[in-house]
Amino acid sequence: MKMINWAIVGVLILFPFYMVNQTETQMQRKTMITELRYDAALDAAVDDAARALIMNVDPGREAQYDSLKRVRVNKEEAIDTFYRTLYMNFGIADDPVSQGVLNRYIPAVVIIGYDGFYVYAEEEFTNAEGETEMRSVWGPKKPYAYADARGNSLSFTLDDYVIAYEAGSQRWVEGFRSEIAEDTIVPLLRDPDKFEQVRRSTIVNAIQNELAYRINRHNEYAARVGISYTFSLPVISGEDWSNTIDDVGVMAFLQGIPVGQRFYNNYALGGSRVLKQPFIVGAVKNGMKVYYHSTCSFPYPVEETFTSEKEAAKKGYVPLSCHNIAR
Amino acid sequence: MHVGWRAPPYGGARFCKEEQTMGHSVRTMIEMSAACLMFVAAVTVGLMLFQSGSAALKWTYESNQMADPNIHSTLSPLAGDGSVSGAVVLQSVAQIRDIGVELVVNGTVYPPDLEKEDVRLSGIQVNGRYKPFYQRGQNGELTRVVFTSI
Repeated sequence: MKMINWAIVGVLILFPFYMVNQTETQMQRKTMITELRYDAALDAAVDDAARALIMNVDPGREAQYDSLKRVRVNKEEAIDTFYRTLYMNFGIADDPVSQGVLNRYIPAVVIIGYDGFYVYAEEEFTNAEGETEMRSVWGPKKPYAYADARGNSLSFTLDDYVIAYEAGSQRWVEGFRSEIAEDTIVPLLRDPDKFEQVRRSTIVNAIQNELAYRINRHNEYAARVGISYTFSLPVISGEDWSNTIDDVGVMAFLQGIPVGQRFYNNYALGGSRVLKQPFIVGAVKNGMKVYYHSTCSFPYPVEETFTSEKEAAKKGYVPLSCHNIAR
Repeated sequence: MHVGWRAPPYGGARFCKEEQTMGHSVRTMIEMSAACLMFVAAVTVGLMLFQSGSAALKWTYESNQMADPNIHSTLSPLAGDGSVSGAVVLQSVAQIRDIGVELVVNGTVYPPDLEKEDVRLSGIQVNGRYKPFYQRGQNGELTRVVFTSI
């Protein structure tokens, strides 16, 4: 048997293995690339929605001076932006049929507001033609409510502001915890650590339970349109939940899209708060050029302001710490 | 005298030829053995390579599966039956202006322009559970929420 024959036999033996491996590798590669694209699309959509959330339509209800987190969320604008960005990134901006298909894979979108949250999910209702229509609609605002064993009820917010109902005296007390603690008999308001712990767990549980219910219901609707995927609330890390309940924001889920041998399943969170960055002040102290953070309340005559310490140093200013009390 | 051993006329040549034939066979056998060995080694290494490639793919697939947040098990059961606590009902009534629709709690109607200080809430069991029913308009907008205690 000649060498060439051995080679041919070898190739014939190994070729099927090569083909199988090649196919699997290609599939895996395509799956991962597709998942990355979907991740990017979902993240972009949620970020855009979170940005649109604070577009205010009512100037009277802008962020209040008492709390920066107290923002009137514009949920309609946020949801429009979410879907617009998602469709654009999926390349189906002008394709209503594909948009409808993609919608089936979004079991719920949650808007986390200052004193309550909203869920945008599919439900059935009777339309103007008298037909049963199934599409995503808004649920009512759900407060972050808690009740203690004595029957007192509290409605938490994303900060320390609280609306409390005293069961005994049947009266309402409203304000920041530290301010109303002395005016009320609700024990939770007198313990700041426990208050914070209960506040966080109440908000997380409220959102989690509602989402679990909405996503479970989505299974029923999805099965009718031929989606066999079992939607369920993903396990969301403690860090993500912590981020969720710090600011108003948007949380969206995209599940069940077949990708290669598996199904795409992901969620995205987008927070929305406008933070004012402290600027750097360049001033003259006893004839010497110094710079410090705008939060320091030094009385020195201000020469110019900078966006970074580096810029101030370049101009010949030397740093001055806020803790430097030798004025 | 033709006594004793006489070499056959072609014996020496035949012997030499056999010797040469044996040498070729041995050489061929050795070559074939080496080729066979190399072939088996190449096929084995090739198969091992494919197996490791396949294992890597399987590992990638499994690690991706593990990264799927749905697959994880959790010890805390999620309620998710749609019912809400009495506290939610009470605080919803308190925030009825934000909700913007009529609320009905066990038959008691609360209009959307109600101030929370004017509300009689003694009928709401804050530690009880309520099943909500959402009434919607022709465009899917919420028109009324009915809470029934369970």
